[in-house]
Amino acid sequence: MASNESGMVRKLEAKDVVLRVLLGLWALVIILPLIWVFYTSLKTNQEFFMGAWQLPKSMQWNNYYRAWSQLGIGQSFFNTVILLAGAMVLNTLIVALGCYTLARFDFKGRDVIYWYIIGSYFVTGLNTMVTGYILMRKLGLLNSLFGLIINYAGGTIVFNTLILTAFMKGQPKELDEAAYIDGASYWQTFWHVGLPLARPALLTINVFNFMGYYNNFISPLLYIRDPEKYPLSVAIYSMSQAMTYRADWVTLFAGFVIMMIPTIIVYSIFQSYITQNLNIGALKG
Amino acid sequence: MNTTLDKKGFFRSKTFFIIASLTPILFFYTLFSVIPKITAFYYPFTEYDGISEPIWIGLKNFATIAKDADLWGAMKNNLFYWVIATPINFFAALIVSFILVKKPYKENNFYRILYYFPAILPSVITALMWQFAFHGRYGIFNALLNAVGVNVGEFYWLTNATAAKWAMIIPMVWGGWAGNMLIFMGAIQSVPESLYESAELDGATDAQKLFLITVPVIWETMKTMIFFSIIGLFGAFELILIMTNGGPAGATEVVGTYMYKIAFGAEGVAAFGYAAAIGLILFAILGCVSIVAFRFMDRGEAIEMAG
Repeated sequence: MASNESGMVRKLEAKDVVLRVLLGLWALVIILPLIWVFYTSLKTNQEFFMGAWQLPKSMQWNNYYRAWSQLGIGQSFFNTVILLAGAMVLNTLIVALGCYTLARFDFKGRDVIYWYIIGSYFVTGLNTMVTGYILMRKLGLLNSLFGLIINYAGGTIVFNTLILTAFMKGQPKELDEAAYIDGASYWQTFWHVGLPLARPALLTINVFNFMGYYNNFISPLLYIRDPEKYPLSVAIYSMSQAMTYRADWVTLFAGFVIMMIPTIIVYSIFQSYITQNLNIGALKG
Repeated sequence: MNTTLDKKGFFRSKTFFIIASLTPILFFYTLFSVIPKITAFYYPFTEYDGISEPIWIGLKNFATIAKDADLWGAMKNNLFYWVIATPINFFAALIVSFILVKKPYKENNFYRILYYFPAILPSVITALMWQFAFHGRYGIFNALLNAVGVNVGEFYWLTNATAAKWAMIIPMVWGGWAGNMLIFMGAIQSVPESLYESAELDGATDAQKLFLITVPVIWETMKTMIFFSIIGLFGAFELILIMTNGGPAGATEVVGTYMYKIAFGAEGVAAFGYAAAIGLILFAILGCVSIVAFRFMDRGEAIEMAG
C-alpha cells in the first residue's frame, strides 16, 4: 500500500482538489447540524427565537440540569442503563452458553439445532411488529422494563450466534481437555476457559448489542406505556411532542445532546470494533 | 439410571450439560424470534382486536386490502423513497468508499470515522434533529439556504405536502448511506492491488478503475446489498413516524406508519388481524421482487462474462 500511495501522491492535480473540497463539504453537512444542536442547547429560549445562527451570549449549562431533572431525562437515563445492562448480560449468557456447546461438542442433532437458530436469518423481511406485540401481551410482559429486557435479549440471538459460534469453533479444544484432566466440571470449564477465551467476540457482539438496544425506538414505543418507565429513545420523543405546549426548546435540545453522549463515547472507544471488517480488509490489502 | 448415584452422575454428565446449555438459547429464540414469525401466518386470517379471542375469517382481510386505496398510496410512497434514496445511498457510498480507500488524502482516516457517525446515531435523534432543522423560522436548513443565497422566506418544509415528501429524503440519506460505505470499503480493500497496477499501465482513469475493475470484483457483495435493500423496501419508517407521522394529508405515509396506525393508532380500533394481513402481503411482494431481481442480476452477470 505504501508504494501505491507514493505513486499517487506524485500526481495530485486539480481533480484531487475538487474531490477533497467535496469530501470536506460532506463532512460539513454532517457536523453542522450536530454543532447547531449543541450550541442551541446552550441558548436561552429568547435566543432560540432569534434564529439558527444566533450563538448563545452566555452558556446556559442550566438547560442540562433542567433536562435531567425536570424533563425526566435522568429517570429515563437510569431506565436505559438498567435495560441495557440487563439485556446485554442476559443475551451474552444465553448465546455464549449455547454457542459454546454448539462449537465444542459433537452430538446427535447439533447441526439441526444450529440451522434451526440460523434459519430465521433467511426468513427476513417478514413484518412482526403486530405479532410481536400480541406475543408480549399474551406473556403479560407489556409495560415492564423486565419484559423489555428479555424481549431484547431473546430477539437478538440469531446474528450473535453466527458470530460467536464461528469464533468459538476456531479455538483449540486442548484447553478444555486440560481443564477436564484437572478435574473441572463442564460448567467450570465453560466459565473459566470457554468464556474468557471468547472475550474478543463477546465484546464485538455487545458493541452491536449496545447500539441495537440503545437505538431501538419502536419496541419501547409499543411495549412501554408509563412515562416513568421510558428508556431514552421514547422519552425524548414524547418530550418533543409535549413541547408543542411547553415551548422550552433549549431544554429539549440539551436532552438531544445528553442522548448523543453515550453514542459518542461508545463510538470513540469501540470504533475499531464497529468498523472491524474494514481493518481486516486493510491487513489483507 | 434408577439409583440415586446414577442420578447424581447424570447431572455431572456431558449429556446433561449439552441439554442444559442449549435449553435457554432454544427457549428464548423460539419464543421471541420464531413464534412471531409463525403467528404472522395465522393472524392475517383472523379478526382480532387484542381483547376478545381472534375469529377466523378466511381471506376477508385480503379482500379488504385489495380495495384499500390508502394502503396502496402508502406503498407508492415506499416505492418513491426506495427509487430516490436507495440509488443515492448506494452510489454515494460506492464512490466515496473508492476515494477513501484508493486516494492518499491525509484527512481520509478522519472522514471514515466521521462519515459513519450518523449511521450509529439513534434514529430518534436524527429524526428530531431534522424535524427542527426544517422548521421555517428557527431551523438551520433555511438558514443554510439563506447563507448560500437561496431565500425561501419562512418556508415550513414539513407542513407542505410536496415539500415534506421530498424533504424526508435528506435525513434518509444523511443517516442512511454510511452503512453501505462500511461494506463497500471492506470489499474494495479486498480487491487485489495488482489489478489496478496493470490497469494503470494501460492508462485507465479513476472512473474506469472503479467501474471496470472494482465493481465486477465486488459484484457479489453488491448483489447482497441490493437484496437487503429490497428486503428493506417497506422497512424503516421511524424517521417518518417521528417527523411527519405520515402527514401532511398522507403525503409521506408509508406502509410502516399506516400499519402502525391501524394496529396501535389513536382511533381506538386495534385491527391486529388486518395489520398482520398487510405484513403478510408485504412479505409476499418482497419474496417475488427479490426472486425476480436475482434472476435479473444473474443474467446480467452471465452476459458480462460472455462479453
